[in-house]
Amino acid sequence: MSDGKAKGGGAGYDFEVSREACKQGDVFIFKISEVKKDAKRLNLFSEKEILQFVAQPPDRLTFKDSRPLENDLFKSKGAAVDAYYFGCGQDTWYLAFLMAVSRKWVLKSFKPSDVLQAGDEPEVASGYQLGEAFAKALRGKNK
Amino acid sequence: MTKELEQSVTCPVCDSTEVETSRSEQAHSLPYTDAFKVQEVHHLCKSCGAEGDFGKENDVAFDIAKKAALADSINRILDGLSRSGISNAHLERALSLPPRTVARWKSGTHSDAAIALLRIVATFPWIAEVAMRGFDRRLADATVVMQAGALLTRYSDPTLVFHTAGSLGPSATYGVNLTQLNVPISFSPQPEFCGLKFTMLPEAKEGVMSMPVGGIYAAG
Repeated sequence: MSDGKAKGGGAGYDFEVSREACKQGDVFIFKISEVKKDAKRLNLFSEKEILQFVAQPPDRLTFKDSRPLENDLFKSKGAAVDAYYFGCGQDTWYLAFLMAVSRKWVLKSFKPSDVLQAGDEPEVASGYQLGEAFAKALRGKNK
Repeated sequence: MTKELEQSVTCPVCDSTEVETSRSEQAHSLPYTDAFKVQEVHHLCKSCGAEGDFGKENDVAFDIAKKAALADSINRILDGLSRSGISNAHLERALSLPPRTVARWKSGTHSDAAIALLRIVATFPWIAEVAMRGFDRRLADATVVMQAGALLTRYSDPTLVFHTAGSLGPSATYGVNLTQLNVPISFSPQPEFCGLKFTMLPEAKEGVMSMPVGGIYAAG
């Protein structure tokens, strides 16, 4: 059972519980307009699609850390914020969620990860990157 | 963007009614259709700082707009394929679909999988011909190489790539040994559409095909 407080070393919440909440659509997405701008890269366009994607759950889901909320956002200062990495194709993404004091699940972040974990860096360019480079070269030649 | 305080809206996180509401128009785009706009609402809870769509109204508006955009994209894709010589019946035979399946898609009864399939065929129309021939691996490989050659011809300096010889030889420039595939290829004067006539050799699989190059909406 989640108590809403960060637990030393491990996750603050059982991911299966938050995943079930996502499945039911019972999760508030913080700053949805910003999240949707990023989520378009995953062909996710609506709140429902984003929550269903998290509920799957995503590939290579890896627990990052759990930290207490530093500010009083959602009137929930000190509540545990669990952060995870996940993968989609060559990209690594980041999501974080918490349970507010009101017992409401909040997806606080859902965005491409700025920091790749060690070993995640691709050794060769992806087919997409090669295609982009090739198309760029062709455009340049066509001028 | 307009802003107002709406007492009737409740924050889903803290249940406060101190909610500021603003509205703005957001543009969305889906493949093979025009961009479309959706009026979106944005809420800010003055009490706990939560920001977002508190009533999930945006999803409803988006779903309605998306449905119309998808219907439009299906029509455009099928019309484009038809202009390229790939009729509904041809597509159904190539993909082993029951008769009138494509007509049902066009009339609005379609799945997400159907849309995904149509987008793939619209982007690579030659896949229909490969499918018609049982997804023959050798034919598929040869077609990919030919498509690459046609695109190089279209976008590159014509004296540099393939254009003058009339048939393809080894190309050190792009690191592809085309002779290994035994696919003599010639290009028509209109590289933007078809013109790719080839003969599969040597295994008595001789034949001549022509097919659209690149996406059906690619400019010539």
